[in-house]
Amino acid sequence: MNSFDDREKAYEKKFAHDAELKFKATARRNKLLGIWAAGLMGMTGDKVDDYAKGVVLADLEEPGEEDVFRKIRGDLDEAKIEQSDHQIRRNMAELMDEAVQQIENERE
Amino acid sequence: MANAPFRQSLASDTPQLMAWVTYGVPYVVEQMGEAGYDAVLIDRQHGLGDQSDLINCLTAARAAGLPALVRPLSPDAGLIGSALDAGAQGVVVPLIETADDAEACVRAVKYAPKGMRSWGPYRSQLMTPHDDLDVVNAWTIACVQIETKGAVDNLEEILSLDGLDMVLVGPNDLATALTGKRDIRASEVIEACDLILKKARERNVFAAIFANDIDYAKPLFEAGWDLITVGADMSLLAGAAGEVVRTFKG
Repeated sequence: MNSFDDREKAYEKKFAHDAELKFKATARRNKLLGIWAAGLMGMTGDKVDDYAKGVVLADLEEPGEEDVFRKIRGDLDEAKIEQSDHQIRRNMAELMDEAVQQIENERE
Repeated sequence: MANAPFRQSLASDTPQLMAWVTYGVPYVVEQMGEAGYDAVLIDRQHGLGDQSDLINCLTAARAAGLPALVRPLSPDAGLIGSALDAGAQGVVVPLIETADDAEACVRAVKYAPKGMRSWGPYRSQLMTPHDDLDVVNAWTIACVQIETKGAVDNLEEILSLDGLDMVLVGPNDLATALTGKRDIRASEVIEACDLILKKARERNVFAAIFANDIDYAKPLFEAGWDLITVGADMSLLAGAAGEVVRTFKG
């Protein structure tokens, strides 16, 4: 895959046949994303878990994942952490890889 | 949730078609999936079969890729929890009259802090990430039926309950409650249905309805109900069987 756009398309294809995997992996991805962003913002200990939970909750607001992106974008801006939109979206795609792998490993 | 299967479909502009299975037979559930339905309801209130049949039907629903709701026998927290633990995505709870009745159902569906669902998702954890209860709460569908005069009178209060995801209108029972007859086309019944849809929309609660036949269902699709059932399995079979007999035996 050359870009995260390609990767997203590949996942959409995979997820079309496995809605359960999509649901579980997205929730896991959001948690991993929260842990990543919390690290950038210098959080430690329970604050990391609390923040990650907040990211999972942010995704409950509306269909699609723009709600998650907006939360990360807004929180990083507020904390004056430099990350481009592209970097955030790329990380969302990469963490989806990891989340899918984790969920699939747990199935075995 | 962004990707919660079924919830996303309900939120779309396209009404979802839900099969209504009363036979308690897994093969019927598979057939409904094959036919192209969007979801299935296993009816334990008036339907046939026992708990074991319910689990088999839910297994068939998962195999067929159909989100499954269960209508329990009564508004009982134990029966609600048991259906969810067996793998139902949600419940459609009958015989609700007051907001307190409805709230007790919501609390039986949702884990704390939203509710008091008991821990034991033995089969349902195959379908949801049970390490995060907020996600599970966002996956489950808490639905109560609006089919009694009390529920219509208390509609606003019921619809404002935190955690209530959907209401399902049963025009047959509603007609009996409002008119004393099973006249689902009575103006009081049609007006009540319209009001329920309007109020549910205002409160961002999904609106579902049971239609006895295709003619009754057509305006419901046009009105944009989120989830529509058109006849139960036994009436579909009886209708098709009756047509064969009428055609060849007169």
